[in-house]
Amino acid sequence: MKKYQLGEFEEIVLLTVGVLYGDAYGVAIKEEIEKRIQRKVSVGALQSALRRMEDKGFLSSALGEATKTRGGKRKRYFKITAFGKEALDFNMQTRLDLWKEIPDIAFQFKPC
Amino acid sequence: MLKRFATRLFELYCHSDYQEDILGDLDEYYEQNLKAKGRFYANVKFCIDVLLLFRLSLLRDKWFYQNSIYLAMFNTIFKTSLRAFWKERGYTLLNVLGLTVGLTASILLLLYVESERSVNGFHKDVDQIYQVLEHQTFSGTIMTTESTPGPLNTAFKDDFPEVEAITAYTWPYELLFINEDQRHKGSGRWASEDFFSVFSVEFIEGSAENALTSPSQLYLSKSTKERLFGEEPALSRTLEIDGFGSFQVAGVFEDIPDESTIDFDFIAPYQVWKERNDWVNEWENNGVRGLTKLQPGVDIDQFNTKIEGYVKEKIGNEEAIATIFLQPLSDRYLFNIYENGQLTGGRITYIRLLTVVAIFILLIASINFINLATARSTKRAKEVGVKKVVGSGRGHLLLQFMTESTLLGIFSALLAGILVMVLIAPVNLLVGKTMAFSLINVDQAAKLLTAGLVVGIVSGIYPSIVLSNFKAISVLKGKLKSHNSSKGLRKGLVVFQFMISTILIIATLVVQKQLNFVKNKDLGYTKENMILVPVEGNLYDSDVRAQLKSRLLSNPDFTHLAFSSESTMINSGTSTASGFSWPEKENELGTNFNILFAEHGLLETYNIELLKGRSFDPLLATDSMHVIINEQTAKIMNLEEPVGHTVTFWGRTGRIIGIVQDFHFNSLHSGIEPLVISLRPGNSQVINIRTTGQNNQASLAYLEATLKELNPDYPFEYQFLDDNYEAQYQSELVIGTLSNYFSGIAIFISLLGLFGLASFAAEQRIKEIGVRKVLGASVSHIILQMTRGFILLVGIGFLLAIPISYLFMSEWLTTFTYRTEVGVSTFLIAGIASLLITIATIGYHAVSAANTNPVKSLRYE
Repeated sequence: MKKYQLGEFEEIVLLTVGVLYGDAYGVAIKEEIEKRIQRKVSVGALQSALRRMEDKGFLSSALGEATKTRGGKRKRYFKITAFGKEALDFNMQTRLDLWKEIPDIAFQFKPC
Repeated sequence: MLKRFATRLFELYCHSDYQEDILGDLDEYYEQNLKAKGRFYANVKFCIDVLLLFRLSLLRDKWFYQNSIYLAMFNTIFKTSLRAFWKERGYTLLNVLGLTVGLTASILLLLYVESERSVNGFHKDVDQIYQVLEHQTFSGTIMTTESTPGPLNTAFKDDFPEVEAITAYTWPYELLFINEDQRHKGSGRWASEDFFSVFSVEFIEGSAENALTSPSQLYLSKSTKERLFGEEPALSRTLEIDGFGSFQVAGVFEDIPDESTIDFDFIAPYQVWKERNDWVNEWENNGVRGLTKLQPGVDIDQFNTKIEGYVKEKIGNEEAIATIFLQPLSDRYLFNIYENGQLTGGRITYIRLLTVVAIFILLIASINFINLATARSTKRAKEVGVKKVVGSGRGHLLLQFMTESTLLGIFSALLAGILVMVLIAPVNLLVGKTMAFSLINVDQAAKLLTAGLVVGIVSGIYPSIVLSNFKAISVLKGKLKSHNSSKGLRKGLVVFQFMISTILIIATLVVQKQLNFVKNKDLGYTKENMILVPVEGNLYDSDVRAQLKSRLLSNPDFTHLAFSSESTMINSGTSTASGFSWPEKENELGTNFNILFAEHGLLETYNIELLKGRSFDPLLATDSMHVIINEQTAKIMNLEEPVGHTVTFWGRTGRIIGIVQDFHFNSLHSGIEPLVISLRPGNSQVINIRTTGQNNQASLAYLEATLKELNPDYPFEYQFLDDNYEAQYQSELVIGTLSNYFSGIAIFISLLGLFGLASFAAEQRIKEIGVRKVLGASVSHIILQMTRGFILLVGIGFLLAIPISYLFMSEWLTTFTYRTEVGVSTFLIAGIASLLITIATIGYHAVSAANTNPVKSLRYE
């Protein structure tokens, strides 16, 4: 577990970056998350999560072309790295394993 | 605007790699919000986002010293400074101790100075408020007084457009307030309508509007109100003033701060008082005080010239002795002495003196640092050499050494701040002030740090230059020239330190000597064991007085009792120029005669010696026509045989029946003035009671019980004459205590420096001493060798201090007409004392150095 430190919010961001492949920059990611999960995301939380994951090696990023919108400032597009994929796999795998281990009886909520 | 600011803020803290794209995102949100919810929302949202973006992971890389190699350098300098401090902890301790004590003393002094300077500063528009003063010319000399003609109150404003408001108010009046069974005596003023528009008070209940217009309305201070009404609101409640009928409370104000020259517990309507004192309606009579507010921007000097002849004009007599002028109220406290019509200073002299002392104490502490640092500079020469070889320039080295001294200064300032916070309460008690100091107060803390910074820089600058001037080559070769210039300066500074300390010691001795002189001066009467009780209530009744007298004197603890208009301290008493006359008196003799109204037995009660004639005799009813005079009066009358001579005093013609020896009825600052004593029981205000002084507690208890019975309406009040006498010299007493402490502190800091220098000298000369001992020098010879130099320096300082302190102190003594002398003994005591403590300070090092075994010190040669 120590190898892939991935918090819940980070995981969501990482997955969203994957979903938005090729178009994953700050504003788009924020809107996508807000649309899909119905929750408010603050710019600060999002940006710091992105940079943190870049530091950890889950994400890579590159600046795009300058456009006329947003005062000529370039966008930074994020991509999942192979290591990021591993982390996601690991997360999913551990959860699946846990799912599988739950005995059926645990989900039988009939009164006994 | 908001957005631009937020952007700048963001650029300030955000990692430069991330700035562009995040700002781009923010811009995009901004545009969206602008369209959807308007400019304001967009702006605010932008700001909030920027604030929320302040995250550790987004911060600049190595945020604190990126872009700045200097910060990195400071890091190093800081570290080396701390190491240097630690390596030389003994000296660091000496320095910090000296600087801390010096700063503490100076801060306390400056707080005192500031509090003195702030007197009367609490008024709104204080620069427009003036006290009306009057010059009165008597036989060629001009007296200056706060008493002004009563009609000024109404006429002044009408006659001069420059006057915005003027108010007349009385001297402090003691009145007894009665609210049901609550009785309280308060001291306050009767004041005319404009009073509250000139004098700023803070109303808790009621307001300044239409104040003092009704003759039955009264204003109380908060504490007076609490005595009478407790915590309940007092507005519109009625209360009784003994002798004046009932009044309605129209307002309650916060107590007048200590920093005011005009104080009062209540303000009562002037018109009530005026009705009973119709003399006040004459331009010729003075009595009430005047406080005025001028229009903004009036030039006071021009205005004073304009009003110079005003009173004479009103009286209609060019020969009249009075002219009025205005003094800014903010100056009233510090500039309070007028001599012959000229402002000559007053408390400001002491304030300036204390400021100078504060600066000198700091200087002495800084000198310690300078001396120790330059003396020990050889120890750090190698460090300088290596640094220079590695490539640091002079500037860097200067910076390093300045940082060291500044750090020390600031550290000491912080310690001093804590010390001041601890000491402020006892100091307040000592000087009778309510000063406050707290490090939490941003203003005070900033001043404190500035002081530390300045001290650090002042003391650091010279050593830094010396140290950074070392030549790398010669230092590293080990050929360090001893620098004669800094040695000479060191000696000079030590001389300076001891000169200042000795001056302070001599000043302290002289002040104490004069205070002792004042306390022990034979005043011509006995001031000990004298209790003073005010005449009030039933005590105006002659039967009650007789009862009181017989009952007190039946107790063996009481020896004498007499009534009089004042005690023997007549500082602000009544006087007359024309009311006292004799057939030969020249008309234009303008001498002012002081008046004391006495009853039988006053001279005996006070032990005032009768030189000629007799005292008042209770058996002779005609004695009420006669007077007793003092020697001064006799001298002025210049008669061959004064006793028995016909005189007229205030409408009664009689004879002089006796001459008393001159006694000091005013402060020793001035000479004895002419005095006339007349027998008029109706004018008595004070009961003078002499006790044996054997059972003070019991006597007071008996006195209280007797008075409670005879005069039940009034709370018991008494004073001791000797306390009153000392209170006259309040500012001298405060200066006495302050100079005691501060001369002690100055000499302590000087000795700290000497101690450091001596220990360094002992360390440096250890080999020399070894050689001397091997060659046969005795221990006493070496001790002499070691101490001689320092004693010489202290001696020179002492010699320099003598003329300076002599000049200053004889000047100070001239403020007393009756004074002691500076005296040779003062110098002797100061000299011997400083010599002894110097020897004690350096002796320790000298003795231990002289006793070291030469084998040990020379082993490695």
